[in-house]
Amino acid sequence: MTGFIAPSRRTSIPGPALAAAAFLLFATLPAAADDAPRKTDAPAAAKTAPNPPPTSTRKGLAVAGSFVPGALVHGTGHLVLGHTRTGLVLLGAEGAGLGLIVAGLGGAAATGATRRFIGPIILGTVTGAAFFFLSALADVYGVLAPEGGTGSPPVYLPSVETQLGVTFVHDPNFAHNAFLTPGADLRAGSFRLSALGFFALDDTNARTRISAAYRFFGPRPSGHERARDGSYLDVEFALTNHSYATEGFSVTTGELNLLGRLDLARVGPTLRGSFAELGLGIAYAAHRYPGIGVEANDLLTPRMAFGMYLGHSGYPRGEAMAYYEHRHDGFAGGFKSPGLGSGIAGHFGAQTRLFFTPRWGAFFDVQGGSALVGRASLLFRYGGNP
Amino acid sequence: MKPMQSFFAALLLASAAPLFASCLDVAEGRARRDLEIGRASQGDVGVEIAEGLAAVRRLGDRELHLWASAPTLSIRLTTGASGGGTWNVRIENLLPDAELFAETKAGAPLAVTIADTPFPTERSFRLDLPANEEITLSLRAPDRALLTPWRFAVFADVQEAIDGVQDIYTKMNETPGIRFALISGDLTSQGTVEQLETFQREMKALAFPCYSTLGNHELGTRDDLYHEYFGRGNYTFDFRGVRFTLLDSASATLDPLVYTWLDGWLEGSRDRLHVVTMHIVPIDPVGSRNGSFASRVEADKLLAQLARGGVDLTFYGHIHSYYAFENAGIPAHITGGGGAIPERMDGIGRHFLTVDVIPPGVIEQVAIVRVD
Repeated sequence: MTGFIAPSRRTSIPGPALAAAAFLLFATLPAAADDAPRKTDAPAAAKTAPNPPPTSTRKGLAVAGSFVPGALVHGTGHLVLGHTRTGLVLLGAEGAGLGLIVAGLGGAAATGATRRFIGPIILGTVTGAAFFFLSALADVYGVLAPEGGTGSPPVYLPSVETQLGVTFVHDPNFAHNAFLTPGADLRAGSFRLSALGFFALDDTNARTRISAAYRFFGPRPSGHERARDGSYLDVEFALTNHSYATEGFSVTTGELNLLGRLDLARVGPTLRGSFAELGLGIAYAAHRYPGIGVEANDLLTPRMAFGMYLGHSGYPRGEAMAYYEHRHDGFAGGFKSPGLGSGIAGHFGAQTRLFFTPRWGAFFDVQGGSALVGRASLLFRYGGNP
Repeated sequence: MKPMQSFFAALLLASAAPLFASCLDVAEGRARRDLEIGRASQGDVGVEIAEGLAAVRRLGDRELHLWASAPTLSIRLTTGASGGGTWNVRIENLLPDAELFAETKAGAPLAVTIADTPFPTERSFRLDLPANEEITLSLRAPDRALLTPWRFAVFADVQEAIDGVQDIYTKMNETPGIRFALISGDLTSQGTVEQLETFQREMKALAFPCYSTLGNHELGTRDDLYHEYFGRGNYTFDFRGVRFTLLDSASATLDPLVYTWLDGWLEGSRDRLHVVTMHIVPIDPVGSRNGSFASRVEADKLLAQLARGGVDLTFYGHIHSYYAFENAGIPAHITGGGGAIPERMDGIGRHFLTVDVIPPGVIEQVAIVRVD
């Protein structure tokens, strides 16, 4: 068991770039400049000196500014706080996000959502939304976070992690409600094998998912090179089979996802303890109707998340995040809303993973889409940090 | 937990606020509104249309105004003490050759005269009705039970192209043999009163009625405004050996109540062809676009139910092109060529479909008729 490794006070330009453009934008900006006074002709030594603690008035203004006009002008909180570079990076991310959103929606309108280009258009739009929303959340986090952030990332992962929990699903169109949810992750070097099952306790519904992933960089089990922080880039292949025996159909889905996390400490010191995630992927589903046949269809599986590590040392420690998944399959499905836009968006969620001892922890996840889904699991792991 | 941690927990929860805004029963209000369609009363005078197959536009002083959602209507009119005398019954969206029959509860026929026929699909009838009586009015087409080959049309997604919709209607009128048309939603761009009025006015040029369900664009102003004009979003009717079921999937879902109705509608159609239409397709054939149900598994549930129920043909709108495919083994057609922003590079453009059926069991042909 490796002890807690304090985050460095200075962040630097990251080495490997994340595949997603969002991460590239953040990662390639030197966070050090954030600590610099705003005078451009200041000596280099002064640039590395941390900002003096803001007055309570300024901090209050920064917090207020991160909401208004921060909701429209992302980074306002940091600009008010004097962290100009971080503020501008967040503003730039918002601009890039808006650009992608406008291009995506404009492209969809101009082409009538043509089958030829709709895939890239949707992936671009979701990526733009990630830029847009994550930069707003990061601004709020950065002006409110305590010195050093809310927590520190794990730099090693457990080689074995198991879970056993219950999942509650409220979907007005289905009879099932409660599921037993066992699962396990096995990690060796850069590889991960995972299995997760949902077995209805009050219906004949059963869902099993197995996945294999390769980590290009980021935390791995102990015995391997220690990760700089919690940032990672994974490629994952997963197979899911979901049987709806009561309703008389089943779906088998194969998917390929590129999933990345960027510790936002790489963007600026005020963001230490927070992270952003972006995933891009595609899936093919075989819909089986007994006595009729199998019909195939594809779906896109992009996701984005903003989260924070919880705790620097001791226990409980873990992380929490809010996320959006564009996929419309699974228990949660897509988002339904009054008015004419129902069905376009995927589902939203929030999850927390907390370890109370080096071995035992808990996992909580809620999702809202076409159904409300809540999951609580007991975690057991071997190895890892924290 | 420290105050700061509590704050961040709250911040995280706030960032997941859309989760709590999930509206699972988004179509419930409209499904319940369906149950009220076709009923009205004023004082001791009341009217009830069987299966809610017409919207009651007005029930006034010996005056009844209906918008028909089906070729055949059964109307029960209770005259009460104040309702005796000469009645004017105005019915819009009827078959041009439909006839109205009236009889008392005891089965005595009452005379019905045609007072006015301002449009092929609109007629006013005059009847002398006794007071304190329960009158049954029956709107019937002479060929309603014929099992000979016939044709209907399907179109959808007019939206902002309402000013050019006459091109489509002209082509439809020129196409021989169309008995009526089905509209799979998106009659308007925002579902405003003005747009619904315009759509209704433009439809008067057609030589046959249109039976419709609503699309997501009808929800742009008010959830149930459509119902005041055109009646139920979910309903079923039979004509010439074919059962037609129209479903309200405008919110990318069906309300649970509709699934229970659908069970009955499917069960009653085993001996005839069954055509189902709705606006949003359960599963978009271009899955990555997902111009379809919010939940893929709900879509599968519906398709499995339709397949088990022996549905022969499905029609959808929402996607502004034409697609022919199968869902759960049922032949499916997306026809969104009413004029809304078209899908580019598909070579389709504005169009409608004609469907030739040979009752009791054969769909002979589904043909695309190009307008542009």
